[in-house]
This record gives sequence, C-alpha cells and structure tokens, in this order.
Amino acid sequence: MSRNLILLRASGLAGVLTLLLSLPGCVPPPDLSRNVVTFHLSAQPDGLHPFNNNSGDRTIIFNYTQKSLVRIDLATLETFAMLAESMPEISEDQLYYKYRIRKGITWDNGEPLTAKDVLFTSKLQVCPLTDNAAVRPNYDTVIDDVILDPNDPYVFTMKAKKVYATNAEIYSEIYIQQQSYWDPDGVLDRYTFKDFYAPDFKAKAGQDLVDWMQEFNNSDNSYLPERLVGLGPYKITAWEADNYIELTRKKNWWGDSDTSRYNANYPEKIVFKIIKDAAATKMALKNQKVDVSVNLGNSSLLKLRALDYFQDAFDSEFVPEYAYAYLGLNMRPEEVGRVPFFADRNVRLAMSYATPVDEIIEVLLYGNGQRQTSQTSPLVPSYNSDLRPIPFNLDTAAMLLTNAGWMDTDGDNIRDKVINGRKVQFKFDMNYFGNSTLSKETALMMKEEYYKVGLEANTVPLDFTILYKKAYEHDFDAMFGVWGGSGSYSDPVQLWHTSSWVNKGSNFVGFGDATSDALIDQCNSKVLPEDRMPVERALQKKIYDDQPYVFLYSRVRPTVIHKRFANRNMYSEKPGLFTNNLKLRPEFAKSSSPLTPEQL
Amino acid sequence: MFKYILKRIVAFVPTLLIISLMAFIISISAPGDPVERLLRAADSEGGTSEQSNAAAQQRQELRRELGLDRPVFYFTFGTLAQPDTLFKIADQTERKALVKLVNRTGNWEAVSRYFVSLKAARKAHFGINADELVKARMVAEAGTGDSAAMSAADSARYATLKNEYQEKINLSNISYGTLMGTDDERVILTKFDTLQLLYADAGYLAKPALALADVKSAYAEVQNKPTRWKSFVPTLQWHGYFNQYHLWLFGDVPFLRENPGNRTRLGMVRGDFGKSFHDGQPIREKIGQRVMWSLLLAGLGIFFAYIISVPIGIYSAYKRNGWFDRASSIVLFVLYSLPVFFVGTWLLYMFANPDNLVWFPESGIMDPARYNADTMSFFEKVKHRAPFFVLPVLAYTYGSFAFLSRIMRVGMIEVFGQDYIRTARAKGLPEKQVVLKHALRNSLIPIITVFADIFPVAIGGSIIIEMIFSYPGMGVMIYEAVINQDYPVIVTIFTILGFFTMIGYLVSDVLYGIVDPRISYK
Repeated sequence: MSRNLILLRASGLAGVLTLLLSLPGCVPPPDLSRNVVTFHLSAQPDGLHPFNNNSGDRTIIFNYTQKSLVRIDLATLETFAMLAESMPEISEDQLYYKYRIRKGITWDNGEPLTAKDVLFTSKLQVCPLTDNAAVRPNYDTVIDDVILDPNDPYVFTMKAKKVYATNAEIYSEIYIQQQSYWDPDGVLDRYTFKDFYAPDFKAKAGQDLVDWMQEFNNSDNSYLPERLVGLGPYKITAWEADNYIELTRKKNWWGDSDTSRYNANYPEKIVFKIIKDAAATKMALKNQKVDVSVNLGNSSLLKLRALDYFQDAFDSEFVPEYAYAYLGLNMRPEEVGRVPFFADRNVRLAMSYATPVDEIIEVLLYGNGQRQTSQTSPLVPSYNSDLRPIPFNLDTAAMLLTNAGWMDTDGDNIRDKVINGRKVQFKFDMNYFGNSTLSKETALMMKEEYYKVGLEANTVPLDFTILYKKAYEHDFDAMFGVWGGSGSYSDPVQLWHTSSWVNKGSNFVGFGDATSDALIDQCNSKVLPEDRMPVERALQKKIYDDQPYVFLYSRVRPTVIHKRFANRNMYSEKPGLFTNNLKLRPEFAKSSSPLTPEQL
Repeated sequence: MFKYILKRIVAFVPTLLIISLMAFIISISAPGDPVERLLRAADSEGGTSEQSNAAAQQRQELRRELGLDRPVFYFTFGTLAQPDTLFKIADQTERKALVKLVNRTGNWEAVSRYFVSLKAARKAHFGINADELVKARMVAEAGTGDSAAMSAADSARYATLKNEYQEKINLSNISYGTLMGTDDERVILTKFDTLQLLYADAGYLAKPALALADVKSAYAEVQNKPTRWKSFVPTLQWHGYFNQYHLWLFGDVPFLRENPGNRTRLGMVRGDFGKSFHDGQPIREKIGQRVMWSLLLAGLGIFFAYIISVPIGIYSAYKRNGWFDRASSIVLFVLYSLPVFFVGTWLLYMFANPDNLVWFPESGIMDPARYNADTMSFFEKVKHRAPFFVLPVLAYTYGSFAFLSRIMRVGMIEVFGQDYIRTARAKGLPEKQVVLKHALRNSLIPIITVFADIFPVAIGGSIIIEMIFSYPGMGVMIYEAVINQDYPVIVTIFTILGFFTMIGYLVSDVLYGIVDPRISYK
C-alpha cells in the first residue's frame, strides 16, 4: 500500500513538473520585424488627464498623444512654434502675445483646430474648479485674458498680467483640447477670465459649470483610453494598470505628411511597458523585449555593454542630464536653534575644497558624470562658463576653516570654536536618503576627507519623507539632494529667493540676500532669453561665490535604443529621444508589418 | 452552526470599525504632509510676489479638497489650556510650536494673541518695496529717482541703498517666519533684539516696527500671565460629525441619496473608499484593477504549496526518521531559509536570461506586442499568460513547502500514536485507509489554522515578488501608497485585510467543526 502511495505522489509531482517543463516552449523569441516600439517605464503615470495629473511619465506619453502651440526644441533648447504658425508677436509693452494657428490642423472627428479651442483650453487651465491646484498658479499668474480675433478664427491674443519671463512660452506645456468634444454645450463660454479671477468665484459659480466641471475632473478622464483624446499622432488604445500602456498610430492624422522629428509617426504602435525591478529591466533588454529605455542604472548599462550580443542589438549612451546632486549647507541654522556651522562663507567654501568630487565621479559613477559648478547645467546656453570647479585641496580647506575661527584647541583632531560663550566642536549631521546606495557611498567618501581637515560628519540615513520634512523645516546641518532640471528657463524663485525660505519653499538652506533677490526679480522680468541671459549668469556667479551647496555632479541618463530602428537620436532634454521618429530599418521589416514605401 | 456563524458576522462590525480606526490613526500619525507632497510633485513655480499668496491658497484649496481641513476624529483628548480649533492651523510646524507654547504656559488666549500679532507683523511687510523707497529717497537727496539720470556717485549710492533696504526687509520678514515656527524662548527673545536693532535706523520699516511692539507685548502677556494649571486638567473636545474619520466612514452625502458629484463622498460603509491622494483615482477602481491578479497568484501559489507539501508531510511522518524524511527536511529547510528577494532574482537570472535559460518571460503578465484580447480565445489567452506566472508562483511557493510539510508531519506523527489508529490497524484495515482516512482527517487541524491566514495574504499580495516580476498586484500598490502617504488607500487596504482575516478565522472555525466531530458550536 505504501508503494502505491509513493507512486501516487510521484505521478502527481511528475505531472506538475511536466507542466512546468512544457511551458518554456511558450516563450517565443522576440519578433524584431514588428513596427512596434516597446518603451520601458519604471512606474506608471499618475494619470493622463490633460490638466489634472503632473507626473513626468505623463509628459513623456503626451509627447505622442497631445500637442501644444509652442514647444522646446530638444536639440537647440529654443522654443518654437508647433500648432502655431510662428512664435507670438509681442506688443511693445510685452503684455500682449498674438498667435496665429496653423491651418489644416484637425481633430480626430475632422473639425479644424481654431482659436476657440485655445480659449477653451486656457480657461480650463486657470479655472478654480479644475482639479489642478498644484500647477494652476503657473498659469493664472500669467494669463490675464485670451482675446479672439473677430475676423479670423485662427488668430488670438494672450494678454499677460505682467511682464514675466515665461509669457512667451506659457503655451509650451498647455495641451490644447477640443471644445466641441469636451464642452459641446458651451458651458465655459458663459464665463470669462475675469469671472474666474474674482475672489468669490467659487461661491458664485453657476450650477451648470459646477456640474460640468465635476464631470470633467472625473478620474475616468485620466484612465479610460477612449477619453484620452488629443492632437498628437497617436491615440491610447489600451491601459493595463501597472502593466502597459499602448499607443496606436492614428489613421489620416493631420500631420501625416510632416516628417519633422516632432510630427513623424513611423511606429505603428508605441507600447509603454512598466517594469519596476532593475534586474527584470536588464533581462527584458537582454531578451530584446524592450526597445527603448531611459530608466536604467549606470552600473546596469555598463554591465550590459560588456555583452557582445547586447552591443550588437542596441545603441546605448550615457547622455548628460540637467539634474545635479548637491550637499546643501544650512546657512541660517540659528533661525531654528541649530549650531551655525555653515553660516560663514569661509566654512562653506572649505567644505567644497574638502570634497573629492572628481574621485566620487570616477569611483561611484564609473566616470559617467560631470562636475557642476553652480545651479545651471553647462549644457544650457545661459551657463556661465567663467565659473571654474573648485579643486579638491585639503590645505586650502584647512586654512579657510582656521580663518573662520574653527581650530583644534584640545588636540582631539576635531576643530572647535566658542559660539555664544560655549565651546562647540565641529560635529555635524549629514542627512541623506537612506534607500540610495549612491548617496550613502558619496557621504562616506566625503566624511573621510572631512575628518582629515578636522570636521566630523555624522552620516544620517533618512526616509525620503523625513529627509524632506526636515529640509522644508530647515532642521538640518547638511543634506544631500538632487534637483531635476530642464533646458528651458526655470524660475529661480522656488529654489533661491529668500521668500522661498520664509514660506518653506525649496530654498532649504536659506540662501539669499537683497542682491540675489534683485537678480532673481530681474531674471523674471525679462521676456526675451537674450535679455535674460546676462542676469542669469550674474545669479550663477552670486550662487557660486556664496556656495550654499557643495555642488557635486550633474548626472547622466543611460539611454538605450534598439538598432532595428533608424533615427536613434538622443538628447539631454527630457524625454531624451523621439520614439515617434524611430523608423524600422528595412532589413528588419519582414512580412508581419512592412513599412510603406513613403515611410522607408 | 448557522447561529454561530451569524453571531460571528455580527461581531465583525465593531471589530472592523476598530480596525479601520486604528489604521486611520496610524496613517495620519505618519510624518510628512500629503498636501506638501502633492505640491512638490507638481514642482510648481510661480512669480516672486505671487509665490507666498499662491502657495498658501494652493495649500488651503488642496487641504479642503482632501478633507484635511477637518479635525481628525469626533473628539480629541487635550487639556483645558488647548483650544478645540488647533486643527485649523494648516502648517504643521506652526501648529507644533503653538501646542508647545500653550502647553508650557497654559494661557491659550495670550498665545493666540501672540500668534495673531505675528501674522499681522508678516502682513505688515506687504507693499514695502525697496526700489520705490530708495527712488523716493533719491528724489529728495539727488533730485531724481531715475538711476540713468544720476551721477555716477549717486547711481552707486542708489544701488547700495537698494541692497541695504532689501536686505533689511528680507531679514525682518524671515525673522517673523522663524518666530511663527518656534516656541524656544531663547530664540524668540534673540529675534526680538535682532528686530529691534534692525528697525532702529530703518524708518521705512515703521509698519513692521509697530507690529513688533504688538508682538512683544503679546509675548510679554504669554510670559507674565501663565495659567499652567490648565495644562494639567484633561479635557475631551467634541468636534461633532465634521471630521476626517466620519467623512471617510460615512461620507458627506445623506443616506438613501445618490452621490451627486465628483467632490462628494458616500463613505466606506456605502462602498465608497474615497479617492487616492496620489492620482485621484477611486480606490475601489484601483483595488479592482489589481486584486484579481493578487488572488490568482496567491491561489496558484497556495494550490501548489498544499499539493506538494501535504503529501511530503504525510510521507515523512509515515516513514519517520527514514532517508526521505531526513533528506526532505534538509532540502525544505534550506529552501525555507532563502530570502524571497534572493530566490526571485535568482529565478530571473536563471530562467529568463539569455546567458542561461530563456524558459520564462522576465516580467509582467502578458506580452503586449502579441496579446490581443479581442481576437484570442480563452484557451489562447491562458496559453499566452501561463508562462508569465511560473516564476512568480515558484517564488511565492517555495518558502511554504518546509512550513506546511513540517506542520503536516507533526500532526500525522501525533495521530499515528493514537489508540484509534492502533485499533484501526488491529482491525486489519488496509494501510491506505488507515493513513488517508483515519489519520489524515484528524491531523488536518493545524493545517486549517494556517489556512486562516491565507485570505489576507492572498488579498494583500506580495510586495517583493510583485516588484521583482513587475506583477500588477496589490502588494506594489500598498508599497506605493505607503511611500506616497496615500492615507485613504492605506486605511482602505488595512480595513479590507482586517475583514478578510476575520473571514479566514471564521472559515477555519467552521472547518474545525467539519473535520473534527468532537468540536461543536452548539
């Protein structure tokens, strides 16, 4: 009987094993002839509502499904006309911006794009009932009114509230929506910008608008593919939560004849595949299940590059980014009752001299990083090239510390100073995001060098929330951080204006004085980039001189594109490439999805 | 039995309420502020002058939208010194400073006046424009306010003065910001001195200087009129139904009415779990999109775990201390000791890697390039998806083998020693019948106990496995909700997990009665 039992169990196990072993045959090799680009995302966007979601991944997808009047050129970093015929005509007082919309642009139902759609979109962007409270101030502080030309349905004028740096580019991130699709009854037509800006608007808004807005803000408009409409060459045809988002090329799209990199639409489909794990991403690339990735780690790409078959299949680059890493030094610690280690410029400068940035780049980033000298990337035209990286020099650092009054009076190798009648040792906390191995290793390398000049850094790993909570409350000595960035103009107020310290904005370190505030105000009052550039450079110089941060390195974006596609151009500006412009090479195009002769 | 089940189900209600309340309290006690997080995520940048006002308005609007402008619960335990309106102060640092101050002095009236005077002092800076002030001064001194028309010396003086004015205005403003966020007497008094010095030769700061006098007198009252005894008298502050927990539980729409819109809520008791703070999606939909995948993974995992472990356990007990028993113990305990993140990654590198074997897909639950829900038949869909489940199921299952088979083994060994087994054998019953009928049924109780925990685990998913294999289940959603401080999602999930834990225990209890006739619920 026991033998029967064994046989019974063994046959069961054998069955399971047979089933398992039969499954490998179900994994087919990648079909490289398909004119489908699979783009790796490490997280799904928080939604694809044209106004109410804000994630970076949303913007990546909108590059293919939506269009704006103007946009930044990834190569030149200049803003140029997209749906508009040209950049706006600017009035002498720089308060009126006249746009002319390109003719021949049509919505999916064949209706032409007109200035009425722009008016409708602009109203939605600033309406207090739109669920976009987080970004609305970017627009309602700029757009005062949109005036249609009674004689030409393609012409309108944006009246600005004041002369401000982003006036001419305000439409670069507003994705134009079709009024007849969203608002066929013209509910928004009954309201003016003046109504929206009235302090009691919410109380006075009519029930028609409240009801319509509730429908418009509904989260179905963020997720349901059939609702996610736009002027771009692709439409969203499937969205499996946390799995993939599929974009399909539109038939008879208005820009089909335009082969510029912004309007090209070579792939039949673009599939955004969500893979969260680094190892799984590597495997997906090795198996050629992913064609494009901009979300790899540096070391992952280096390891992949060591494989011949990967090199044969993919083009890869470490593309310099605008994002940079820094060690922020609290310049106003006494305001929160902390020891003023870094209130003195000499000490901050000494920290920069004592930081082995080149070694960090070489050892921790495998040489794939660039030194950062101020808040502006060397890649943008406004960069002040007169600023030189501060060299690693412990002697200079020691001298500066001594000049600042920090000396080792008790022979314990830690410098000290009498502050407010109390002897204080230079032992400070260096906060960093605990989940980041790179930050931890960077902190340890820096700690070692700081000790050599008599400073004791206590490295404190913190959860992301706590790290930034302390930062916003100014409750830290020194902290690691990373700022993202863009090639287009970024308002310096948030990071560098003193008001941003007072209001608990992102000026964590308390940088700023009258001079820097005045420079920031000047920057923001120049509409034309060429007028703004000298002031931007002066601000960089001011920040460089004050050293509120130990500027570390600008990062690189490991970018991978499959060689089965032509036009594999890579850029520093996000998203780093034009997926719509990737053209399946004829030698890969076999039977399944041949390209048309025009596309070839 | 039916009566027993009914009783247990009735007991679910208060238990669930307590679970939801606990989850709610824990989630709102987490550090950080979801409003701040939402604002940072948007990376908003406004103009200089608008920044402060716009940011304040944004915060206020978001707080209201998220229901965070309400007190947390129906009541708060406080002291006689604390007011019942502290929740209205949106800024956490300011609220914390105020609480400390009032706890120290016991005089809320004075503390409140001090806080209001500080706010007024900050407002007193509005409209003070360094440029205009210096221009006016230069008109008086040099005859013109236009720097282009000035002499070089005047122009330089103009620039110096403007810097000096602006610096003082900033310092003054910043100092009030500091005062609003601190209760430290040493810092407060130092700031008063600094400000006094600052205003000594700055007539243009007359308004803030005047406000400083108010602030100082208000603070003097805080210092001189303490009512510390009030800080020792506990009170219960009643907030009524207008609170965050009530909103979450019962919504803000009267019962028996439909939800009129997007911004109103029906509450958890009517199946409306609210919306995610992170992406605005209804939580019910979020869970609906993922829970089936978690259940499928858990179902397959549990199925394989049981059909493999139970026979191993039975046979190990039957051949106690034999070679199979010893070998299976070693192998299973080695597997048990391997952490899942290691095994998951190892499986990936071993079976989804062109350098080794490409037997299974590396991630996801389908290949979007090949899968077509419209044209594929059910069996084609199953065939397409099956390989995607192998590695996650293996990672899910291996750790249970040792655990379940050991439990089964111990149960069987105990039963084998019982008199009734000896009796069964003595009666000459076939060995198969003795083992599978008499022994097995009675040794199932420990396995059933373990089974009770399966329900919440199945719903909750596995964070690590889902992360490694990009599996779209509940585990990753929970992880992301915690990272993003998405309170409504966290509270909902924990309440649901609590509910399924109770279901699990109920099912276990019922099964006890079925497998063991000695257990009765009458």
